[in-house]
Amino acid sequence: MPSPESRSLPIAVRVYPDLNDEKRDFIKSQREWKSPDAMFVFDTETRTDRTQRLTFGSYRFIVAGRLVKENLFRGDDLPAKDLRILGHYVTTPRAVAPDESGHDVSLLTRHKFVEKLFRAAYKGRCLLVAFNFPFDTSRVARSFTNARKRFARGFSLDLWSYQKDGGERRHPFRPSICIKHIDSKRALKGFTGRRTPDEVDLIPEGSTAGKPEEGYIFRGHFLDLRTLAFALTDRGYTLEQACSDFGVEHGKQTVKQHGIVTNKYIDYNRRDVLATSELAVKLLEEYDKHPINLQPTKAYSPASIGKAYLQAMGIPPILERQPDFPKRYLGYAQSAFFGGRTSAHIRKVSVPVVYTDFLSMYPTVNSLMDLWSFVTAREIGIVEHCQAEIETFLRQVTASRLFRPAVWKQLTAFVRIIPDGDILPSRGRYSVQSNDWQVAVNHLYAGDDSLDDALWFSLPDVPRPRCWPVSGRARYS
Amino acid sequence: MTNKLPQLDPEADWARKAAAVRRVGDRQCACGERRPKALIPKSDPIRCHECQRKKEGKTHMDNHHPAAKANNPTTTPVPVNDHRAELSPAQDDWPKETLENPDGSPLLAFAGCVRGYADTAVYLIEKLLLPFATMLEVLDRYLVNTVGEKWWINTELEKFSPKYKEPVS
Repeated sequence: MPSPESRSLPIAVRVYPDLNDEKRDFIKSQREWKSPDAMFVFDTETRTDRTQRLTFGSYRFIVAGRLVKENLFRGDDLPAKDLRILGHYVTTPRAVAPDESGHDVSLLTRHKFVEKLFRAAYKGRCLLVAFNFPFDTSRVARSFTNARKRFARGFSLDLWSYQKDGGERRHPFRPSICIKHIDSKRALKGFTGRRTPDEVDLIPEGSTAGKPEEGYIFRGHFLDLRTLAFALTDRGYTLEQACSDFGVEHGKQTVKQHGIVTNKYIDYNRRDVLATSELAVKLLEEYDKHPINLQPTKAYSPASIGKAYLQAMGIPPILERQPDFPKRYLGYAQSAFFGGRTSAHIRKVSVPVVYTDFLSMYPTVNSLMDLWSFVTAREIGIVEHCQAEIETFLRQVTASRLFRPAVWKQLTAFVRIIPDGDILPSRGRYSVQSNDWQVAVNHLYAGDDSLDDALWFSLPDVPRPRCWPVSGRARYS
Repeated sequence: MTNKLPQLDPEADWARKAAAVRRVGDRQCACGERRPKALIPKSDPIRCHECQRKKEGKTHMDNHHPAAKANNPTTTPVPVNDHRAELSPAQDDWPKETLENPDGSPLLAFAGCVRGYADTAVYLIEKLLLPFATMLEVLDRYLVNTVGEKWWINTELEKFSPKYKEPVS
């Protein structure tokens, strides 16, 4: 029973969502994807107050590696002084890179800008490129609502509008752009469907026959360079750092003051777009070195690239090679997953330490426990009710025995236990301040010792439980 | 074709081209024509306008209005595939008011003439002149390989060499 000092805390477990009944657009297309030959690169500047409303921005439209258009655009409610500065600037635009030939630059309203964006990125399906895409896209949106369905708990941004009865209304025949954040570096992004799409918009990407498919929704080719740089390097980048590390010729420049429209500030913004467009080329070149069939716009993390490599190696996911694999076991495994975590047990006290480098922990554990065999196995079998075997194994476990590599390979099992003060990982809201779900390794007690309170753990997480009513083990062939 | 002159609305031009490519997929006509706008997307097997006309026993030439119909009635005969894939798409990039000129503005009519002349000139340069430049370069390489370096010396063509000097009599 819990000690008198303990208090109850709700815990959460991961689940395996069975998406079989979800809508068709969840199914990944097997069509070969060809990278569009054009990219629409943009960046915005905003006010520095809490509204962060759009002041102005610029974009470059690049086709086959050649700049075909560069324009500035402005916010809808810009003061007359800022408008004058922008208007004067475009009469004699300066080159933002010394070796770039001069070209005309126009000043567009936000409305005209998003019209160009619609033509290029939705009708023309080019790459829509930005660094920190959600922020810049939200700056050019006229309104937002809560997103639904696959983007639930995200935002639905309305960029397009039309005039009616003297007022501006949401354009019903244009899509919205939905954004759902995963974390600071990644977000799911996509166009929504729209009312009565043109026939040509219903032709799926990569279609060789050019036939429209009813219900097809083009989701867009949104390329957030911050995400792609992260997926390629496992590092969170700023535009400046990314330009430096990837050898961009015309990198980001600095400006003394943000938020005030000046000629130098406009130069700074245009230079940012140039740097972003050059960074896109560098990152896509780097990405193309990977022999994988994954759109760069869908490379959200190094894990995405890893999964694409498995596909390229001819290793399909377990349910593709073994469709009748019981899904409840995937659920057990999912609920037993806690991932990597680190913690300091002794804080703010000087003690001798041994520096241990745990870089690349996942592949290391994968190799040492021989888990690769499960990845490549033709079939995975489940051995249930091996409680006695597991109990015997755990009784014999000693600290010195766990240092033997041969023992690590015997740990490929999941056990279901009713915790009784055992030290186990759990996911709870441990911090009142942050209120986040966090993983911690603590003494864990079941509520009332019933099987309903039993939890699944991977065997390596369970060195010496006090009880183990049910257990399961996976074997491969 | 539309890339040869400065584009007024490159985003819309890209969208039109991308849509045309999407409609035909990776198909091409049996005659080898693969320009998306020269193909009839709903034909099965896919066929170009020229082959379709031939099949129907019709002429494969179109009368193109270089200045657009609203601006000038002058027409010039061009192959239907070029009309569909080159000259008409070039006019799609014109300002709508110039292309349609609904009120018959004389200035817009002349603007249409200028734009039409420029488009047609680029088309003719591409069709009539540039192939010969390529052919001359290929022929030069052939003569270097078969006759030797400076194959023109002591031939009637020597006087066309930029380094040729008239012999002193």
